Amino acid sequence: MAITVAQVETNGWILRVTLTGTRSAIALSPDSPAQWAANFAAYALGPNGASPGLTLTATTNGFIQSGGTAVASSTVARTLIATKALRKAVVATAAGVRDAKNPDEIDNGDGTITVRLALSQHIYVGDAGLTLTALAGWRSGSTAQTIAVTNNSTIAAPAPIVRWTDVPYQLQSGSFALECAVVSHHPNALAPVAGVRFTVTDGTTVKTFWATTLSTSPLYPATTGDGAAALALRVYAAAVDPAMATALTKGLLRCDYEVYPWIGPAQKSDPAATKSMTNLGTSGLATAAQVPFVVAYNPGNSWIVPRFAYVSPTGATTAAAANVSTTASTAAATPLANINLAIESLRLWSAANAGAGGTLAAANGQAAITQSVDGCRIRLIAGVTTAATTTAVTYGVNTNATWLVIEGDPAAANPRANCILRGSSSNVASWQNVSRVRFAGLAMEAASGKFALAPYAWCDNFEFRNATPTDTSAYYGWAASPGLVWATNGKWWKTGLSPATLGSQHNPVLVRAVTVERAINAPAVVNCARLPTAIGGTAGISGTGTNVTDAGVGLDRLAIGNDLRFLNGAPAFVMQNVAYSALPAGLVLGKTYPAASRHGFVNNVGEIYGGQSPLWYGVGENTTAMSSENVIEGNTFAGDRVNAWYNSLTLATIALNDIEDCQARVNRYANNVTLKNATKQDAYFDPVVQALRIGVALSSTRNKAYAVGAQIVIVGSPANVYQCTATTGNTAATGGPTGTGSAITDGGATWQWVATETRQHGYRPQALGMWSAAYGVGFEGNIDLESANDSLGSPEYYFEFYGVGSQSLYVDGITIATGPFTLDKSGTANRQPYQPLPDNNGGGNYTPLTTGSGPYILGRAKSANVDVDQRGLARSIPFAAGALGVPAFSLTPAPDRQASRATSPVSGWATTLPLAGNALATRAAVTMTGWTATLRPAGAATTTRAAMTLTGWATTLGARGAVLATRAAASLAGWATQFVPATGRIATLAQAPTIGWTATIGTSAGRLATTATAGTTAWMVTLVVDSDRSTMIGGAGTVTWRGAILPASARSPSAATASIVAFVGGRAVVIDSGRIAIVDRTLPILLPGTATPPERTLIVTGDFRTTIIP
Amino acid sequence: MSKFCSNAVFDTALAKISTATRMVAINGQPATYAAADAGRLSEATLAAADFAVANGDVSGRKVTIAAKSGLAVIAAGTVDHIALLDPATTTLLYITTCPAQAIVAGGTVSLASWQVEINQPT
Repeated sequence: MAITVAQVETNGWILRVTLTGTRSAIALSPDSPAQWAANFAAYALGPNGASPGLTLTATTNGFIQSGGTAVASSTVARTLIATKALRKAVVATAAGVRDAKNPDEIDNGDGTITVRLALSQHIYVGDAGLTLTALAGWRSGSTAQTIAVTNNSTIAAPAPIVRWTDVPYQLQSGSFALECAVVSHHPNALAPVAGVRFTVTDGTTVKTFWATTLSTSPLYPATTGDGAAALALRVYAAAVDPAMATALTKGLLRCDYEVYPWIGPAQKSDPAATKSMTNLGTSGLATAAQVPFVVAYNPGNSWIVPRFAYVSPTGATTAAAANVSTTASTAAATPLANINLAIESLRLWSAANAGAGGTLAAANGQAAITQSVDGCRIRLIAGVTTAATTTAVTYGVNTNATWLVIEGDPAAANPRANCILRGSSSNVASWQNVSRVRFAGLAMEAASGKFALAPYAWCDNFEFRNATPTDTSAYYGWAASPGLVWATNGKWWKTGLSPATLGSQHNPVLVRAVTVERAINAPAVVNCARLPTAIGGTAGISGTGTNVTDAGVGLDRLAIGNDLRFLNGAPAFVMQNVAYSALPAGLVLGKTYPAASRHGFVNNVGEIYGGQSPLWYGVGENTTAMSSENVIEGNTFAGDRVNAWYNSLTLATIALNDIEDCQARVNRYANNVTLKNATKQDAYFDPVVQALRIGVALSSTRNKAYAVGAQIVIVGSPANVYQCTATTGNTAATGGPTGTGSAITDGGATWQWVATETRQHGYRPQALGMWSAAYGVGFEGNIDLESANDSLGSPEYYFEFYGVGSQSLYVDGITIATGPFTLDKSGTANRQPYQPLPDNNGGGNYTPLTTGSGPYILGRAKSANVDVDQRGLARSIPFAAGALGVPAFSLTPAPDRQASRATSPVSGWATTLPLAGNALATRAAVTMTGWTATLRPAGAATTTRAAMTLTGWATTLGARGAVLATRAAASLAGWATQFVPATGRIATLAQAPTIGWTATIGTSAGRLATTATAGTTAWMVTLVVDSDRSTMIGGAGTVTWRGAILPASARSPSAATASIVAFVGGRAVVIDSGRIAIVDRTLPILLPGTATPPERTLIVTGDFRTTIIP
Repeated sequence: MSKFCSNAVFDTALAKISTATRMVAINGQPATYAAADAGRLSEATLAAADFAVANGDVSGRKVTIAAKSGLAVIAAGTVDHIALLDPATTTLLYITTCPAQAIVAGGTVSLASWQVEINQPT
């Protein structure tokens, strides 16, 4: 059984494979999990095993890091796996019963079948080099093979989701930080993207800064604003020094990001890449993500001249420029009675000092700003300052470059608590005529009405509340003057409604490090926290859920690092029912439904403790919706369910329920901890739908032909499903199809009549649009802790596959007796697996336990967009799923290598031993060195043996074979090969005894070898006596020589024995001992006077004075 | 002349190591099984499948002890030794070292795979 054809379908996540063989043997009933499994028994894909049965490799377009930047690459490698064989769409019988799930296999009638398999991720259009590696046995009887795969995907790779995490139009006199939060669909380990390129321009010069790693944001306190928890926001950031050559000019600076993912296209705040300076005065004030970040650059106060005005109830009641000063202490001495007067005084100063800062010079492509109060500060002394409405502020005050600041007096004790700005009852405020106002370091109170903001407002280091604290009041937060608001480092409570829930009012752009009691609706919500009930939050009132929605800003929404415990009502996160009149083409998905697209929920904790509500309100709950390119990652949802990609249509009419379908694709759902994650899709039996069918008697009136799934009509890929919508009759004459068992043709479509409508079921066979989620495409590292002992569990809610590295305990039939968290204070009235009764307060600790059921969470996640958990704890792969982790410690035991030694001493090399080629490392233990390489003592160095003498080899010692064993024992070195001492060198014995040569020692002719011992040399050669010489006779000490033994000239034969032989007058003379010598000269001896002096002298005996023969 | 030792000899020794069913992370070198047990800061349970005997990297034979992760911290301290224990016979089978690592309660511990190798005699 071999694969003959393989291709990726246009949807990008289904692998269609044709292979030789036959369809699986299946049974359509009973419809039970056991039968489901039996029907798929032929498949052994092993997606979570060490060796998945089918692996698909490809290359794609993306970016890689190079030299501190990110550069484009068309060969970024991808590895996907086939996770599960797809089932057929549900087939419901007339009686309301569906067939058991069975694999989507088609018998091609030619000995091959075609099967459809879910992939772990989407293949994108343009991905190339698709190669499928199949292990033997991935399907019963299949063989191992590698085969090319055709890529028919039309799905474009998603760009990262990016938002600025700081407030624009800040006044900067020197270096400043740029930062943005980034969430990618394809993080690489703990790095979201390959890099971020920041640019800063004054319209002429462009400076570029790269960030290729995450860093902790230096901006705003690392707390929730109420000190509840330390939170670290990890961002891509750059430190910008505008004065660095080439220096940027003063004025508004345009800053942009270009975010380069590992896979997919870049996301840019300036898609047109024009860096337009046109309208820069307002282009950064928007809820959209792809807008420039604008900075008012004012080096040395050379452009903007900041001034001060103070407000005190006892201050001046007439506005005057004289009450304004560039020196804070001077201005403090002449306060004004209210904020209206302060603003007017600032305006008067500007008018009077137009050439000295009152009018901002045109700069960087922006027009001059007259009557500017940009960068001015109005300071409120301690106490309550009521917003006066009796003195209108003159129109024409401008803040087109940066914020006018209304702040508590820094000299006051705890100005955030003691400097109070109270709204007026008329719902108007003087600062409403100022374009942009920053409220900082103070408390803001709504009194008997709404608190009016400026069109663009920034609340920083603030507390916002009702003047008469009552959570049940209907006091609004902010008045209905449409505008935008940024909120950082604050506390926002004791209001009847969330200041941001009314779409007609101010739309928050960024809410960061703010503790809240009510909803936060903003496109960017980071590091915020729900106010604990125990310190002021009120339980049990309507709307206590701190749900996070996107305030109507559909795309590129981020919610990162939020602590949303203490909920007892509304869901924590909502991502549906956002209507779009126009979506980018890639997100339409062929529908015009409301959509949730490009939302990033990352590292959030949600807890339901009293009420009952889904923590994460997913997509498709009793509605039709689209969901694409979302990233739901690293969240912990405790206490209630998550309805992710629900596709529970339950629409108003049966007609809608028969044709509508939610859509989902290219979503990343990773590392999440849920207590119940449910999905529905086509196989969910909806009693409401069933009631609709039966209740309106459709089964008897809606006679229509129908076909369901691939069983009936197979056209194209995937199989199209055709359905007749004729409702007027069951004959052609009455407008409906007719016939029995024969096809009819209606225009270009052929309709297969099956049966008269008698369906009484609650299924929606067409609801396949979210199957990519139901099959866990883009899912990884999730854990669904719903235990098998939870009565809420039901196979109806199964995901077909929950993702690579993911686990659903209910599906796995695992029962957990104990909770997985350090302190579980969740629990709902509708039961909850580990908290039998609802808690009255909430506020649990959802750090996973390392014992009990906790290990299901630990060590599960492999990649993430944030390299720390929600509390700032660093992650290391693998790490815990969910928002909270535990410290991870890695231990590396030292490997041991025990060498077997035979002897004890060591070799001691006096010189360095260079290792040739692949060095053989020497252990530091007690054994000897065994060098496989040649030992070559350098230069004249001496290799020293362990014995007593030195060896000085000038030539290479070539050990035989690969082993040069140096013995340290007492014996000699035994070289297998011959070693030759160089000229003049001496091979020294290491010790006694002598060298024993195994080779023959050849004596040179005429030479005598000397023995080193005291005994007689026994030569094996014959001693030949010349013919005229005496013959030596062996015997008892007597030698008879036939001739004279004549020593060579001047030589003396030395006897080796005790006897010396001489001849005198033809007779032999034997001397027991002594010496015999014949010399060529006369020795100094005494002779008779007549005697002739001898020519030679024969000396016999040792004392020549006694026997002299002349 | 060469020296030689049969793999059977090595495997017998390695098989004894493989009887360990506990691997503990400890501070300091324990002298006894009891000391290792009492001083453990983290612990992994071992099974026969966690040991794999194969030819040595240099010569002879080796046993590879599988990596373990997600281990609970039993007590805070500094781990610098890893020991293999056989509780059935209360035997301290083997001790090796590891780079000192401070661990705290509530965390998890992972132990990398490691080997014991016995080489041919030289």
